Order: sequence, then structure tokens, then C-alpha cells
Amino acid sequence: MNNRIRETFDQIHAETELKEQTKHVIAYQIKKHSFRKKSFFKQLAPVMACCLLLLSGFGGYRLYFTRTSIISIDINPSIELNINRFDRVISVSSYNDEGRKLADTADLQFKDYRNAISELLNTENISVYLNRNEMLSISVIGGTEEKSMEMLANIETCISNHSNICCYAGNFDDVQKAHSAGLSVGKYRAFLELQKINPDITVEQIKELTMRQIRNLTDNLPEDGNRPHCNGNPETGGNGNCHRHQNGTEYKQGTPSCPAQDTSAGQEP
Amino acid sequence: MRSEQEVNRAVEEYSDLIRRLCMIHLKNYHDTQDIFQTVFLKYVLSSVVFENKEHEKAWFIRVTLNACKDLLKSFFRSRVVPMEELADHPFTMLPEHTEVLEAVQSLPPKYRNVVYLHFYEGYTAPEIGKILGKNVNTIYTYLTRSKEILRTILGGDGYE
Repeated sequence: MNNRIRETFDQIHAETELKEQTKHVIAYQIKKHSFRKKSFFKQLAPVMACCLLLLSGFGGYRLYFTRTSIISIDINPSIELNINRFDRVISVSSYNDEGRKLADTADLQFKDYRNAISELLNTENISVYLNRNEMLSISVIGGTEEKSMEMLANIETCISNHSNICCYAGNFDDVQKAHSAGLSVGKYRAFLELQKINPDITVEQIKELTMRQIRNLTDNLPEDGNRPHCNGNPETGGNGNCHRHQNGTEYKQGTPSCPAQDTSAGQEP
Repeated sequence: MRSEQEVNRAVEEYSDLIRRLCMIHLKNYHDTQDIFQTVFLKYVLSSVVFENKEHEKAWFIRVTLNACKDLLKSFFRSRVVPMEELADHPFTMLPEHTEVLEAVQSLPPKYRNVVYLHFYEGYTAPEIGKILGKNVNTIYTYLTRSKEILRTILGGDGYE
């Protein structure tokens, strides 16, 4: 039986026609499959383009709304302008009640920081202090030292018509500490300077003081002292205008634009 | 995906095997054509890496038997196919061979596979168990029973 079964199955072979037909069909399916594969990628192209567009949109959004620089403006309203890489104001942070009022009233978002500063200086909240001979501090924290210098130079142009304004360049190391203390960078810098002279001073004590008052405390003057701290012109009655480079001193990070040696020049006789 | 050359080689190598398996399960040539296309298409699309020729052959046996089972289970095949359809397979056999083939075809499907794999392909019961995914003892049982049935049909002239 074993042999008979083997002999029987030995008679069965796949027909040449069957084999050829199978080869033909499979070859056709292989071509179709590879075509479909290409076609699938073609269909996928618009989807991928949309994804790319979405990703680039998201990337663009992140690029635009990422803060790269900070400009801290303190007189008594204490605010910070958060600037993106395109020199536009993306948000305004306030650090005291007056700062909050100023941030609420001034429409600065998406404006170039130069225009934003010019607008701010003309607002009532700031001009009232400037008219009282208060001191305005502008601290710039750029992503790089070059950027800080560039921004300071631009800001100097904006404030050329105003007096009693001091400009500083800071660095991002101070930002975290300042914000932890609940102060803007500019006010925190003034606090640190005061703390060097009076180590017992606390953040709470200076939080609501104007920049002039803090400066006067630093200079061991009474809080209501009217003396400008830097290079005021004695011939014009001593109203300081710190941002000008009267002696050609360059801005340096961590160094006020109104050098210490000029301070005496601003004192009233 | 495998290349056309690989498929052509496999067609030449395994067509007879598939044809014989189709012969014991299917009763018309068109179904055989379908099985051929199904099996080789699966081969083209399969990413299985065969360790050796035996592995590849076992894969073809398993895939062919599954394809036959699926075809016979399908709705359109659930109707009875008359024996007359056998006439449409294009080759002719001697009467003694036709008798043996019909005897094998009359066995239950599970016995047919075992008979073919054991008597023709020379697989042992454990090997058949591995290919069909069944217990070795079950294969031994199938073999014993199928031999008895075949002996009855073909006249009991011994195993050799």
C-alpha cells in the first residue's frame, strides 16, 4: 500500500500552465504592491506637509513667545518687559501695585521695546514721578552681552529727552533671585547695593520705596533727599541724567551706565 | 517583500507538493489555481526567514493546508462539489492510481494530510505533529486508523 500511494502521488505534478499562471499573477501583484507603496507615499505627502506646517507653526509660536531679554523699569511702578528674539514685547510683569496699574493701562504687547519704553515714559504713572525728580532705573538683561549692549544703546536713544534715568545691563543669574524675592531685576539690584551698606535691610522694607529713596539710602542720605546720585550737570542745577556717556565710559554688564566717579559731579553745591 | 526571482524559484520547487495537497483536498482545478496564488502571495509578503530547506518546505505545507481549509470553510464553498468536477483536472492517471487517489480522498481530511505526509513525503509522526500542530499520539492514531480504512478500500495487501 505504501508503494501504491507513493506511485500514485508520483504521477501528480503541477502543470506548467498552472506554474506559469501563478508566476504571472504573483509578478503582477508584486508590481501592483510596489506601485501601491509609492502611491501610498504620494497620498501621505499632503498629510506630511500639513504636519510639517503645524510643526513649523508650533515652532514659530514657540520661537516668537520665548523670552530672550528682560527690561526692568523701576521708578516706583516696578515692571518688567519680557522681550522676544524679534525685539517685541511679549508680556509685561508687574512687581508692585503701581506697576500692576501701569501694566493694566499701557498697551505694550507685541510692540518694539523702543516704542514701548517711549510710550511708558509718557504715561502719567511714570511722568508724574519724573516730574518730581524721582530716579528711573532701566535694567536690561539680554541673552548675550552683545545683545544687552545693543539694547542699552537703543534705549539710550529713546530716553535722550528725559533726565534722571539710569541704565544698567544685568545678567540672567540675577533674574531668578530677584523674582524669588518678589522684586523686579532693577529694584533687586538697588536692594543689593543698599544691602552692602546696610546688611540688616530686608526686601520688605524697600519693596514700596521709590528708586530715589533706595538710592538715597544707599548714599546715606535721608529718604526724601533730592540729590541725584550720578552725573548730573552742576550747571543745570544738578538734575542727573545717568544714561549719557559724558566721559565716554562704556556699558558693562553689572555696571551702571553712570559710573561711580561721576556721582560727585551730580551733587548740588 | 520577496523578489520575483525568489518566487519563481519557490514555484519551481514547491508546486508539485502544493498540487498534491490540493489534489487530496480540493475537487476542481480553479480552486487549485486559487490556492497556488494564495500560497505564493503569502510567500511574497511573508517576512519569515527560513533556517533551511526543511523549514521552508514545512512552511509551504502548513500554509497550503490552511489555505485549503479556509477555502473549504468559505461561504461559497460550503455547497457540495460533485465528484464529476474531478474530471476537469487536466492530467490523466492509470486506473490503479485513480483508485488509490480516490481512496485517499475518501478519508476524513485530517487523515488525508497524515497519509500524504507520512507515506509520500516520509515524515515521521513527531515531525507531522510539529507541522500540523498536533500531539504525536494523535498522529499515531490518525495513521493507524487511516491505514485500516485504506486497507479496507484497497484490499488489504499489506503496507509495502
